[in-house]
Amino acid sequence: MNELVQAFSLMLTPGSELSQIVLLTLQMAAFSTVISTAIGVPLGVCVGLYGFPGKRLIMRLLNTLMGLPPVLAGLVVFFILSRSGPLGSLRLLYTLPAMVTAQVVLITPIVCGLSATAVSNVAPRMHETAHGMGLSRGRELFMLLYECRSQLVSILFVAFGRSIGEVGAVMLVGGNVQYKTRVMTTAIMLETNMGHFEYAVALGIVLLVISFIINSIALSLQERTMSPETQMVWNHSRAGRLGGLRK
Amino acid sequence: MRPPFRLSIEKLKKTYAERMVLDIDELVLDSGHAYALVGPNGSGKSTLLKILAGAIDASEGGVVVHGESNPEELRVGFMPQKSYSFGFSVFRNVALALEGSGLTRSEIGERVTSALDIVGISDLADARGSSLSGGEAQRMALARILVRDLDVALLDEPTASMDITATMLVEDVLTEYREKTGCLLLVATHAPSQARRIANSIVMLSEGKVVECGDAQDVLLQPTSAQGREFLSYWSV
Repeated sequence: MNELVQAFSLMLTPGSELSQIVLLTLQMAAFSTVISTAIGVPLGVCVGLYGFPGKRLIMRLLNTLMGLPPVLAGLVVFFILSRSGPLGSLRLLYTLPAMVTAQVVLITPIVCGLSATAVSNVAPRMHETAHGMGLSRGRELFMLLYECRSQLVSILFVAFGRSIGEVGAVMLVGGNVQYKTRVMTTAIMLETNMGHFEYAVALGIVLLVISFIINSIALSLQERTMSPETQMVWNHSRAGRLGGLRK
Repeated sequence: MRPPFRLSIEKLKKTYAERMVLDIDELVLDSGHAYALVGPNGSGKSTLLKILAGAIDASEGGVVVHGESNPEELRVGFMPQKSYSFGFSVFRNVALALEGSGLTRSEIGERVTSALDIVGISDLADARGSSLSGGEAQRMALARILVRDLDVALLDEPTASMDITATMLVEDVLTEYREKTGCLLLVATHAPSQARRIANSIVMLSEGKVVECGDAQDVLLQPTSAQGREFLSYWSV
């Protein structure tokens, strides 16, 4: 209990190592989420909306990449950013951008796949009606995104949750360097390895509290905007996707 | 009201996964007329309506518009079998059909209010579209057709989820709408009795082909094809 109180008080103390770790964790998760959403949502909408040759293959690839082991993603980024790698000259290894890059590689397929599912649940039912009402293609797309808004918000927070809790890839490309690339998850690992179990658990609880706050915001946003019918369809499809990830 | 025009469907084919679902050599539809599209399940009624609405493309052939110099200007409205209800109010769901029509806000408001009143759901104007029952959603979808001045109105089983009172109301509303706008009305229905009540002419499809086409009374009382006789034998018209 003392460790937990200590952890929270340290987190709230400006300039402390823990507050710096929490800040870096949030920065990493926010950047990763924004970038992977900016790439994944438009791609997912295109995949979900349009029929084209090779779509089934792309869907299979996406589903496979949704279960990409974080260590493998980290390893790929590590090789690319290492001194002998193609982007070695940028000297990004063991920096925040390297950690964000690994997270983006990991999260973008998830965002893309979930966006494709969200859109493809609504688009076929909406297309005939929108066309029959004389809506333009652009307006139809806008209405589709509007109808999927709560799912898209939810995807944003799924990405954030995945990012904030990630350890393998971040450890590989970030290196867990004190005051530079140490985030909550890597700090927990370090404290555990050093035998500071109580402090590690306290850090874990702090991480959980942050995740809880963010998820609560996501859920309240979702509940406000989603109709019962859409929620049922979405929950069903998302359960299927996450079930696939656990395998 | 637009000058008379004619839709000529020529060598129209539609295949899904190598299965031919529509194969029409020739079919002519005139503006100002009401046509009932009848036939058993899987005969191609919905596919034909979707192609005419432009919601899907034909595999071969197409539709030629005669008597209209700019076919792109034809205002075509389509009410699918299961119309989508957007997650906002019924009023906005209907008003969406008038977006880009050039009407003012008050004109749109008047039209939507009138259309909701005609289909009998004015008390649901503020209800969420996605919370409506099947029958109410169909009435809302019909209101989306009624608010527009259409040249071609295509309706796919518009009374499928409605009780008999609502069905009779919709049939009267459709007849009045056609008389007022002079549009070409094409309604897919399973029921020959409904076809007789709302249409001048009947087009009967079977396995994607037109097997009967002509005056409603003639087709219903003296079908010329074996498929037509078989289909109508189950119904008391």
